[in-house]
Amino acid sequence: MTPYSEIRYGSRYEAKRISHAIPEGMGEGVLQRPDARYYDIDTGHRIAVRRMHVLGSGRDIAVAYDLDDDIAILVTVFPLKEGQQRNRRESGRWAPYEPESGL
Amino acid sequence: MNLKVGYDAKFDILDVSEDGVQTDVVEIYPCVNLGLDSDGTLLGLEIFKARELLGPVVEPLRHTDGASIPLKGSLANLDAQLRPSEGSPHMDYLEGWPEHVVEGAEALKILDTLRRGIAALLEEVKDGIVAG
Repeated sequence: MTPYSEIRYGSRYEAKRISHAIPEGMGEGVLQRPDARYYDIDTGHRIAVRRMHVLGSGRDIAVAYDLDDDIAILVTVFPLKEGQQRNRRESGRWAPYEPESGL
Repeated sequence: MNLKVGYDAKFDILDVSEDGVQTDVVEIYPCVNLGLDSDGTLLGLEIFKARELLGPVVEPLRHTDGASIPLKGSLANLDAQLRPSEGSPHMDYLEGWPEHVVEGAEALKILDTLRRGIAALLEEVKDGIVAG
């Protein structure tokens, strides 16, 4: 059950996804069932991270997104290296984010 | 090379990329992500807060409405200029590239390299249209 009424794409999301051979629907999959959510204090975007089987192995995939009420807008999607999520969390760059509303 | 640039004016994000499988992303400066292929070669850049970081360099793309604009150049020069030298005092390496740990003169150097490199790539773009 997704907490979002709709998931939209930012104007460059789809072009970047196709250019970098990121499977269709991956961003939505991360966003709807994340393992962790953060607030990126530098970019101001929300981040959802989910472990997925991609690129021949298990990888953490991150999605940057924004909210417009209960509409999620995907900004970009990218793979994380091992340790990258931890580094960003421990450095304070990504602040854990667990909203009561589920958004 | 199939190099393209795009600008999302709403979120103020500039991206320059070649087609290919991006296996890793490292942040070499706050809000500046480099996309790398499996060999660690630069495949693309994604710059958040682009107007703040790049200034007038973004101007020719402001009204392009998120369109992909083909460029004639390549990322080879930026790859060579941004890649840290052996023994560089970055804190946290990810297979040769630093992750978001630059300060002082080194940070200024990276920003200057980005501004110059992207300005050179966009030299042919006027008002969102590639000249020639």
